Amino acid sequence: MNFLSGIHATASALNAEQVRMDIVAQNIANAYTTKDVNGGPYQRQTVSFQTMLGGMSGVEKGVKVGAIKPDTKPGDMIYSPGHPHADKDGMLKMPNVQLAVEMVDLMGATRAYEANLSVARNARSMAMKALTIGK
Amino acid sequence: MIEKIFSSPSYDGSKVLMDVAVMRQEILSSNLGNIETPGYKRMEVSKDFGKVFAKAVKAGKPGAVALPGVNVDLASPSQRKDGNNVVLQDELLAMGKNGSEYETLVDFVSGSMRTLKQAITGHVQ
Repeated sequence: MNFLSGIHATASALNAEQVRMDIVAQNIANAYTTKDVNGGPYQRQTVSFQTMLGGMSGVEKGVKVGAIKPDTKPGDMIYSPGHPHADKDGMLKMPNVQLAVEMVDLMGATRAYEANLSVARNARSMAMKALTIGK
Repeated sequence: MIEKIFSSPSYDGSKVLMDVAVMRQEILSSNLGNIETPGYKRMEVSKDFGKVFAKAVKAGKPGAVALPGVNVDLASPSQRKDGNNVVLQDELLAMGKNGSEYETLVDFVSGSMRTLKQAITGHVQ
């Protein structure tokens, strides 16, 4: 049992949501990157979560980032002759990042982060209350 | 007198309920932590705990109730494609309720101790 009940699960979720936000930031930052390390346009990365079974105390189940994988869906082709990364027909392969999708993901991650913060606050107030026993 | 306060059914029962509240807090934090985990099913304190506890209260021995088990809630429908059945507002409401319950119990336990202290010292704080 912890002094702050459930804090390990909450902490693992805060970490996982943080990773998700970092990946969204990376996707948005690379929304116009037409040449990635692999030579093609940037592919947006997706984060998937998994329940963490071990390493927790009591009944807690934490969460961890299971995998960060690229979304292989092709991006738009735009006509842009003269662009250094355009092919011989003047077509340019764009990254498959859609700003609306990323923003929705960012909002989801932020809300989940806030929900977990309020869990931490609640655990803290319970612990503080427990310290007043006998007063 | 001292034994009476520390072995009274309501004091003993409060101890059990406080342990359950801590356990419920751990469960709720797991549920909220996994709110974005595909396929996660919410957990809850075993549903028959209320009945078991009420029966023990009637028998005058609420302190003898063992800590309840954890249920994985497979019955609640999932509103999402990934099969996760955690509903944010339900969990947050349950957490608020659980916190208030815990505070009430702490106040009760502290009250019992205060009564004893008053009996010992002879003056009301």
